[in-house]
Amino acid sequence: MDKYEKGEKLGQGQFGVVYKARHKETEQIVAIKKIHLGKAKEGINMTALREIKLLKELESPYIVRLLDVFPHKRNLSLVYEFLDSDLECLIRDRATIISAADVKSYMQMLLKGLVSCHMHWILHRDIKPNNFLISMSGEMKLADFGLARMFGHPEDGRYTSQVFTRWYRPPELLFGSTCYGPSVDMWAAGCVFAELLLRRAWFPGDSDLDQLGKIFQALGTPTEASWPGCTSLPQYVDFNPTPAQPLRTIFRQASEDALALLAQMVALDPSRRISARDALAHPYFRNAPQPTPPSQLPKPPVRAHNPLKLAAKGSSILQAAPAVQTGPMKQNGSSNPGAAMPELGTESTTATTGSRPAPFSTAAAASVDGPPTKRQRGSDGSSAAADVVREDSKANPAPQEEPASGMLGGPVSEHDAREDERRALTDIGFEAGPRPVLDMEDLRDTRKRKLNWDAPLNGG
Amino acid sequence: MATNFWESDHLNLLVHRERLVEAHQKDRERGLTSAQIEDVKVFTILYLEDIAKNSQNLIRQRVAATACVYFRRFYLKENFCEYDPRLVGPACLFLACKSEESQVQAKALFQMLKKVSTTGKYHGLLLPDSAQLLDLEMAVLESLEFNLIVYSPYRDLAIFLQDAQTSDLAECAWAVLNDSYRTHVCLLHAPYMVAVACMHVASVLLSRSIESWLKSLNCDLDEVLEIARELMICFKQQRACISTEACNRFVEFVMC
Repeated sequence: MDKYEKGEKLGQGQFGVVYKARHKETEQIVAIKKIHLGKAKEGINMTALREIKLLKELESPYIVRLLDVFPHKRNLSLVYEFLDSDLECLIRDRATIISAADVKSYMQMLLKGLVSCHMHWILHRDIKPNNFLISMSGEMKLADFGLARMFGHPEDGRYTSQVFTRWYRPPELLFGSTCYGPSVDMWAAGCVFAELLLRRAWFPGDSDLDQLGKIFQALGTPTEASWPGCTSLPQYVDFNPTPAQPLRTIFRQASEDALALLAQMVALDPSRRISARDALAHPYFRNAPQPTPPSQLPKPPVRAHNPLKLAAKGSSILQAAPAVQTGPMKQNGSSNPGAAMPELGTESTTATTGSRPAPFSTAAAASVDGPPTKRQRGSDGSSAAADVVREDSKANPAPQEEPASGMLGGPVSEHDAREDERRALTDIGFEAGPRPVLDMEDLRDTRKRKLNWDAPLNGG
Repeated sequence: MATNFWESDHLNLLVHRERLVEAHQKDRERGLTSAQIEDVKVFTILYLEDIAKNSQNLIRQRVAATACVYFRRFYLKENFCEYDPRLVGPACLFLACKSEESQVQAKALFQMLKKVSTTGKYHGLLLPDSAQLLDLEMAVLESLEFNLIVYSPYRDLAIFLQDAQTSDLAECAWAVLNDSYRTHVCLLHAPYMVAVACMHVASVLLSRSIESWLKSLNCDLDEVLEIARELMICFKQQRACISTEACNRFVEFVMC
């Protein structure tokens, strides 16, 4: 710690505090994440351990560098290179214009980061815009490996399906798949691609079921023909058959090749999803316009706080600009924006009571073309699935407006602190709403489940 | 296990034989012989493997193997007189469970330790308490400089067995590999070389020739033979694992 001159506090996360700091000799600006281990009964936690283990091994210009790790008193300090902003800030910043060439450049950097991960047999499992940090010189790097794990070992048991922030969670995980590969990251990358084009989240579901509804409404419901094996996933739910919308109707401005690539990234069947390496070789990246060189990319807005995201809070609650009153966005997303949006608007302005977007949730559920059949997940015999439902209903109290459909996850629980942050953000011009993140309860839950699910099925 | 071995720290962490001689300087000064030091290490490694075996599949073989590598790497730098191996062993196992993605809760680990140590040959072995376990976990992390990825030879061995079409060697080679953790080979040689050597040893033990397959490999056969020799010596000596009392005596001898 003596090597560094501690600067301002940048953010408070689930496991500790992030400080800006300067190396006394090299003058390098770094971000130091202090993980407090004081009373931890289980020693160093999995999130920190994964991050250390994997970042120590990964070295790529497209992945944030872990410069140093050292224990200090009863804390563990992780030293990262410092980056000023992140992709979410950039997407949300209405003042910034992101051209088609810029999108291409960001996607190229994003995919190169993913190629490095997958090449090293690492799944990131939390791809979303605010995990891509952007430097003032325009370079974008992947950060936050707290949910990442290695894959591909034949002895591996099942993985947990409770990863990714809901909006970026692929359909196979929403259906409870516990056996997956790099394609999960590609789905999320596709969602980020769409978000760059739309400037708002493509599938902002407010429950796991609603998430599936939004996905299928755009991409059509899967069938055994289009996605072999999907109906036998542990938490498969029948949706009323809906045809896919042509992507063109959602992305009016995008080029033909961009949509071709996007379609391959968000293929419902994970086995048909394009790999990161193949995506980089897609004609989209060769055709005009050329990707903008990083130094000429728009300067990202500097975050108010929390540069290195720690699990849940902070910048991640910037809502996907729910005020969709502007033209080109109207026809996409929820089929019933007129009904849903005004309520959300009032919700966010009157966000003092800590109420969840109840009206939105019901409106959206009604607007989903294929309302879920009564069949409940977990009622089909799989005890693991049933456990999940029970655990979740415990973790998210009072899901009254969700008809006993046992929605996984449920809306995010709210805390006063978060409300304050949201109000603060509303003040500075962001429409803030409940953006689902893996909050502490989710994470605790995940870990509980992980212990069961990652255990070997029948010995090594 | 995963990622790319050739770009990994594991490759950089392989050491030369000389390092083994340099280790445990303080313990030697206090009068322990190399053989006694090795006895204590082998004892602890078998102890860890026994905990894993009795864990009802909570701790897999691979995790125990990683723990052994952590344990051996730790004592390349540290000494018994400063860190009690009877406590460091469980801490390595605790850490390995996490880094191999099958976390075991501290409480569960303590139960296993208790179960193993109240009966049979580990009776009377010193057990860590919760604070010691966590402190030593941190000490191990720091000593390993936070390099946690360990490539295990098990996957390589499975591939080689298939490639050489020698499924009849599988059981023997696997057992040889399990026993290889009683030696230093995991510190000295790349995991795939260890796997080839295990195949070789198994073929010798079962009197089957895999010479043509070995020659078809693009690897240093001298190194393979060297590893194999080391493994064979270990088996020939049949060094009986020392008793818990002997371990206690050795460790307490340097502690005070």
